Amino acid sequence: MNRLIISGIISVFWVTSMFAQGPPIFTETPILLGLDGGGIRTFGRFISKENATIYVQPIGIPYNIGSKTQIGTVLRFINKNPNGILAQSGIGDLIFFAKRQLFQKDGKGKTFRLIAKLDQVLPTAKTNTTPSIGSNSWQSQLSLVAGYVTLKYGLYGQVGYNVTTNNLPDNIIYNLGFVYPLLPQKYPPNQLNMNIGINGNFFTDINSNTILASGGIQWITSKTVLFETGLQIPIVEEVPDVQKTNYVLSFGTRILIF
Amino acid sequence: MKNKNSSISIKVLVLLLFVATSLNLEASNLKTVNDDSKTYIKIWVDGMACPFCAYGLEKKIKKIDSSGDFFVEINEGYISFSVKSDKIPSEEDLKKTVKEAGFFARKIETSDKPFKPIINE
Repeated sequence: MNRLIISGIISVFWVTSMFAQGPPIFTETPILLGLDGGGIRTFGRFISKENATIYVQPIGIPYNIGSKTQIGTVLRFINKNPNGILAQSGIGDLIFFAKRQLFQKDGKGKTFRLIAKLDQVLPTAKTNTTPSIGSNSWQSQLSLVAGYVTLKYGLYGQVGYNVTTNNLPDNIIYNLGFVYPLLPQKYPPNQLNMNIGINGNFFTDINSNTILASGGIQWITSKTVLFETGLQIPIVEEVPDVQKTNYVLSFGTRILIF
Repeated sequence: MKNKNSSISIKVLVLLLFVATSLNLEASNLKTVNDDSKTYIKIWVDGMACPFCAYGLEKKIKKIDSSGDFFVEINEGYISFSVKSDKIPSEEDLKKTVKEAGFFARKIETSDKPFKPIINE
């Protein structure tokens, strides 16, 4: 069951990557553009494991304070369905996040940006069920996110450290993403983007490493609406066989309202 | 004879007044037309690397008083829009607007003609 909690920790940070304001799907972006206000974003994740299935449906509300700072919160509905045990559902731990741009270098049709990102998880979800919906742990993650984006491709990287309480293992996250547009760039956008990458988690206290290979596709239908879906499969997973992940299927939308 | 000359003078005077008034009205009309005329602004924007990101810039530009005819040439790296000729923002204000949207304004041009035929306006 602890593994389910650890899966929850991992999903927290995969889920927050939905705040990318464009590509990529599974890695954070340093580009704090495209919102200039508020929007609602969803990014459902169906996680198939050997001993359980987990469904996470978040709604994120980001808000830009100027062009270099963004804050936001994430509400999540979580359903955990372990093999042989009754499924449990509920509202997950509350997440707040803040991003601050540290560096920006622009050219014609290209940009390099670097941001710092802080994710704060509050243990607000219920923990009196089996399996538990909440992590019962305060978690703070500080990460650096860099990206080099041109009209022809986007290359993104993220590395961060997640501090946890209540005897949960701390972890280092490391993500890489590559985005390739399949259609000519134009404005207003009507774009298909191919996404590939890796998503890694190294649990420092237990020396356990997990790396998922990620692939997905985005369809940007207009200035304000984006659909995306992707599949992640483990290529390194240092856990007992019964706890292994089969795949993670994701699908979501990003809709800018204001 | 004297009365006849006087009558002609009055007629000429009236005619001149009419012509002068007409010219003045014409000038007024021209002035009105000029007040409604547009100036087109073209901004070369660095950092505009994804079409999805340019939406924030569009929203900022559309907040400029009397702005219209907005379009983005993403592959060429510029945006263009129009404003009323008597409401042209300063170059400093335009650069600030672009910066607030998260980009860098490298060069600004103005013209009394559109920079590109506008199809979807």
